[in-house]
Amino acid sequence: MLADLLIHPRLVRVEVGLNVVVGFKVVPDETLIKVSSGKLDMNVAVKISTYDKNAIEEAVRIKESTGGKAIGVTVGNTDRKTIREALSMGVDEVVAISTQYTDVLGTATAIAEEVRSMNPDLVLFGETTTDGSTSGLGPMVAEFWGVPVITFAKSIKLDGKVIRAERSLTPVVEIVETELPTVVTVTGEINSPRIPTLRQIMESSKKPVRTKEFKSSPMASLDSVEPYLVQRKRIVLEGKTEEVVQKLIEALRKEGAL
Amino acid sequence: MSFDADVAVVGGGLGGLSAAISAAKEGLSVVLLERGAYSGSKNVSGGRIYVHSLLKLIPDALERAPLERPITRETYEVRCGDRRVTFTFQKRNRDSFSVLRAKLDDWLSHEAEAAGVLTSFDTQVTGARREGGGITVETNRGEFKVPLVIEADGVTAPTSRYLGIRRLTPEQFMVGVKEVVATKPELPEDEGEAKVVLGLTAGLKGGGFLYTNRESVSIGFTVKVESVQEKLVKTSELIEDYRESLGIEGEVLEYSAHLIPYMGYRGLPPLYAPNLMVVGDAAGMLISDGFVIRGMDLAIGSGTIAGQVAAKLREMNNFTRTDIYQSQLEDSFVMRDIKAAWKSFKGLSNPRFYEVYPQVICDVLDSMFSVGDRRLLKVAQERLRKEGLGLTSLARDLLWFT
Ligand SMILES: Cc1cc2nc3c(=O)[nH]c(=O)nc-3n(C[C@H](O)[C@H](O)[C@H](O)COP(=O)(O)OP(=O)(O)OC[C@H]3O[C@@H](n4cnc5c(N)ncnc54)[C@H](O)[C@@H]3O)c2cc1C
Repeated sequence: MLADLLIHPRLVRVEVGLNVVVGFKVVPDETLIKVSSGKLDMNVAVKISTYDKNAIEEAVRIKESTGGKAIGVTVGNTDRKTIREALSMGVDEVVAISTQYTDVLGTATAIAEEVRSMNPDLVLFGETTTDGSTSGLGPMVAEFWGVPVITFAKSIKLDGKVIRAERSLTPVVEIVETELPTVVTVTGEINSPRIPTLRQIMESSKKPVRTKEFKSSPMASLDSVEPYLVQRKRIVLEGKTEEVVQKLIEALRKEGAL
Repeated sequence: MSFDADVAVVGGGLGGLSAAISAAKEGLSVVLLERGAYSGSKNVSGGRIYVHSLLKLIPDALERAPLERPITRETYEVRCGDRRVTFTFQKRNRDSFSVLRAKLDDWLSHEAEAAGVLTSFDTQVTGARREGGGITVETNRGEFKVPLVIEADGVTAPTSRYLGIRRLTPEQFMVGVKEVVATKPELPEDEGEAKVVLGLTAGLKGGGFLYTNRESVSIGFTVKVESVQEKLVKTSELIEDYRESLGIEGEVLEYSAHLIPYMGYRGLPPLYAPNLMVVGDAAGMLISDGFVIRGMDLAIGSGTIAGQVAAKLREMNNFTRTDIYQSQLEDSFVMRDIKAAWKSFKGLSNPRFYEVYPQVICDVLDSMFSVGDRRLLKVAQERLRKEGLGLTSLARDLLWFT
């Protein structure tokens, strides 16, 4: 093998393992949040924010195909069971930064600090979180770190230090290219996150979790969270299908829906 | 033979979590498999827990567990049409509390994590087989080999069935129907009420209950599977009627129907097999005499014992000697109470409690408070005679409960 390499050095591309940092957020499971007497019950079980799971999956795939490392970073709620889920998906270690309430700028500052000290090839995030939905974290970290950012990536290809991504911008797809290091935010289309096996879950409990504290005074404060309720019209149209369809169309016109 | 862990606990309800905590405290490596996304997501209960066994497992649980209200008022209510008889017994105590299972179970699962239990959610056990001196558990997340399984997978006991030691029949179950309704109880913050209601689940064998939570009430009732089958009624309609008759208004936060084991001491299923111990509902451990339903404290108690026996078995390096579990259970409150409840359990099958007596009680009191004959015993006797019963059969029926 080694001899082959020496004789035909240009036939074999020696991939350097890529180091990927993936940010993920622990959020309340939105499917469990209930509204009762006009108030939101947010005290529910937590999970990894939906698209952050896609970011984790992508980080693990890149790590596996290049033989590098995938390091998770999470800020805010540092629920250990949720962190272990990231580890069992294949992340090698997690930096868990606990904070009081912080705005996205605070989160970006905390993550940028970690990223600078780790100096990875690639930083991945989900396109947006299911709680805050700012979509701002990726771009902010890129700015602080001083590298390019690609948002809404529905696929990424790596070729040495060159990254090519398809950006999903309804209704068009934009193909962009840049050089590592870079920050990428991914959409749900990019992959289907794996379901870890029990044995991987067992293994994950041996992987390192580094915990840290971060203090920041948020630039923007959260005043209140209120339910967004959609009142149903409760109109029932009865009769023969043909007639009802006609009535439905009229009703929708009247509402300005058509 | 190499194993993946010392113990696999199947099911992350109160029974499974208690078993896992108690085994982990003894230093065993424990993996807990729960099919729900979190503990409490699949657990239904009218929510009154007698906390003695929880306090043995977690001594400072009263300070930390998400308990709703201490039950300081026991109310009995007999309804017959628009007449009703109510009496309330009040006593300040902290023996039992109303709880919401979604919160309590979730909390206990965090306790388990903190005790070193490895919990795996969204993990459904789909099969189990004996292999290499242990049990191989089959799941949607691959297989897992362990020398010991603690089964806490609830009333339908799938693991026991996969291993071929259990078959289910309809007479072994009751149906429990429950709603949580948003309405703030008119009680001081540190008091709670438990109410038993007879005569509202028309013609069905069983009584109804109401527990006050902090900001809501849990209402529901249990009925025998056959009575639902025979009368061809929908449990969802029954509970709506029940809620309306109780006069409770508010947003229904949760509706659920769940099977409850109905076996009694004599009818208990196998509680152990080599490499297997069965706890909680899966082992039929439930006390229901028409007045109280107790399963949570039994699940916690049996789970705690199973965890301790697991440690003993590992010390003995012999995971087939699970018969030790049965004998420890017999020496504990779990079996003592199930045995003692056996009589009232039989009383529960007596239809007179749901059909005749509520009517008789109302009629007797009715004549007591109207102008006319006010000799209680005499009126009662006459009224009973109409049902073809005497005072002796009344006394005999009531003695079932004492
Ligand atoms: C309407 C109603 C009211 C009740 N009221 C009271 C009361 O007031 N007080 C009281 O003490 N008791 C009450 N009970 C009884 C009490 O709820 C049960 O006895 C208790 O929950 C039993 O606990 P357990 O852990 O054995 O089972 P469960 O709480 O049923 O937990 C079983 C767990 O196993 C999981 N599971 C099942 N199959 C699988 C599988 N194949 N793979 C992985 N996981 C699986 C389930 O998801 C579930 O989480 C009530 C029950 C009902 C239905």
